[in-house]
Amino acid sequence: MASVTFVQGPLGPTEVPLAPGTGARVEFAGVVRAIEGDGVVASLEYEAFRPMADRQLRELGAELLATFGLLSISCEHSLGRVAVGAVSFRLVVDAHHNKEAIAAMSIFIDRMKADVAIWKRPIWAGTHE
Amino acid sequence: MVIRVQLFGAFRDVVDQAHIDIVLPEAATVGELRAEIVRLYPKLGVRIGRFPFALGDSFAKDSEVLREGVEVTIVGLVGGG
Repeated sequence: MASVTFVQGPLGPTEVPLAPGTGARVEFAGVVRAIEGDGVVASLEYEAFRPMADRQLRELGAELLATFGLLSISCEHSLGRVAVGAVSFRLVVDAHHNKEAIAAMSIFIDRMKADVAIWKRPIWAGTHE
Repeated sequence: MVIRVQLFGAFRDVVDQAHIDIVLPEAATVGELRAEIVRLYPKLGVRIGRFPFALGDSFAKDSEVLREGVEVTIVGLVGGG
C-alpha cells in the first residue's frame, strides 16, 4: 500500500503501523536545516500543486512497491511554514528485507525532489515575513 | 477565452501574483499560451523557458488545445523534501 499525506506545518512523530510481514522498516525524516548556501534560514515555506503532487507521489509509491516487492510505503510532506529543526518530510518503507527498502527509499527521495510539484522557499533569519 | 494560469515557487515571486489571466482566441494551444505569457510578462517569460505546463493534474504538450475553464499550471523547478 502506498499512502500520501500532506500536513499543514511541521510533521509530528510517525504513527505508521508496521505492515504485516515486515522484516525491515526504513524511515527517513527530512529536517529543515539552518544553513542554506551562504545564508541562515529561519524556516522554509512549502507549497504544492495538490492534484498533481498527490497523483505523482501515489504513482511513484505504487511503482516502487511493485518494482521492489515492498509491503508498504508511506509519505508525509509539510505545507506552509516549517521552522529550522522541524521535520517537513517523512518516508516510511516496510519490506521483507533491508536492501529493497533502502534502495526504494533513495529512489523515492531523488525522484520526488526532481519531479513532484512541490516548491519551497527559504525565510531568511532576520527578515520579518 | 480567458485562461487562468497558476504560478508557484519562483514564478509566483516574479509577478507577485498567484495566478495570471491570459486572453486567447478559442482553440488556442498550450504553445500559443506560452508565447502570449512571454509577450505580456517578459520577466516571467525569460524564466519559464521550456518548463512544462500542466492541464489539470497532467503535463501537457505545446500542441495541446486549450478550452475555457481548464486549470493551467506552469511546473517550474520543483524542490520538495
